[in-house]
Amino acid sequence: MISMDFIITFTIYMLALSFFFFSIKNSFGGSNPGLDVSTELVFNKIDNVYNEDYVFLDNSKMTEEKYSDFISGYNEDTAYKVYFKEFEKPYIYRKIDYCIFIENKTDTGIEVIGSFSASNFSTYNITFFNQDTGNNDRCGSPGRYYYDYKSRPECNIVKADVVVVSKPILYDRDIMNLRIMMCAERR
Amino acid sequence: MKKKAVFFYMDAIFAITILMVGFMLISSTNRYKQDNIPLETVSEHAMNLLSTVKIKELCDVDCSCSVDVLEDQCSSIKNKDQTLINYFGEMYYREENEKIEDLFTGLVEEGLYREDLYRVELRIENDPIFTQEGKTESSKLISSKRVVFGYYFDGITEKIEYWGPYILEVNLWQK
Repeated sequence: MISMDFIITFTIYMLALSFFFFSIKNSFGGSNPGLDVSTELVFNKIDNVYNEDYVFLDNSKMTEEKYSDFISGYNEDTAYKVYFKEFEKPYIYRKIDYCIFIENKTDTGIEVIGSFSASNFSTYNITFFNQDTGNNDRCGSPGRYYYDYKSRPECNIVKADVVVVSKPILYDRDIMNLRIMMCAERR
Repeated sequence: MKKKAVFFYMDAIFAITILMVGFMLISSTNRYKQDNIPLETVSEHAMNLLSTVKIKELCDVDCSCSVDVLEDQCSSIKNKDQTLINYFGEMYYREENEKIEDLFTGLVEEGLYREDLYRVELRIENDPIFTQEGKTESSKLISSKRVVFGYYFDGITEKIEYWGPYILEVNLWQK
């Protein structure tokens, strides 16, 4: 015969266990925490970490020369490891792509002035729809892109979390937005 | 009988321990709640731009400016070596609030922040200079303040005019 003591103990035990596993599930990604990225940290790292002698952002200011140096002179893999790797959560995401670009608002749409990519996919997944050619251009391809206000840079992964952080900057003499897009494939 | 009680006690203690670990894990998930961080960041970035960019960095010596509104005002700017928020302070001192409003509108159109996500209000000495609707209805609002003061050379009186200090406040909220 099962005693009342046993039933109460068993119930409390089961309750505790369900709390335990529910909490673990929440803590390690089950509650959809998304990409946990600190905007300030990303910009600060980009500004200083790669090379201490090279100030990329200079607070909120950037020149075309500096940006060109950044795009042409920096190795994608190294930039990926230095800037972004620590934001990854391998237990939630398989792979993450990153795209750094500068947006200029025009009367007709958005102009992307250069872009820099850091990827750990074999094929890159952040693309811009190029209005001139009608094709999707990979982030990091040379040249400028134009897109209208309705279309945005896209992440070509079905099960993905996307985060875009941005900061208004003075680019030479114009006010533009420096944006960093992250596209992560969920497990 | 006593032995049975010991087992029940051990069971209860074990259950309480598991419950405590569970609660600790639940509380640790709070780190993902970053409700105000993006708004704070947006506000800080906007204020950072306004307080570091100088008029002379937007306009050249011939008053050709990247911001259209500033080009209209350029010839009357007395001190081009000052930042945008200091220029706002100077205009407030000269009681030309409509110029501040026009320039701030121009900067918003240039991409100071995302208009589809946020609304903003600019106040100087608590006087509303530029206001968008929805402030009272919004549940998330961030306020950034700076003290501004400066001077300019008045060509008519041939004296240096000192102005301020004023409290300049930018309120930003989500739509």
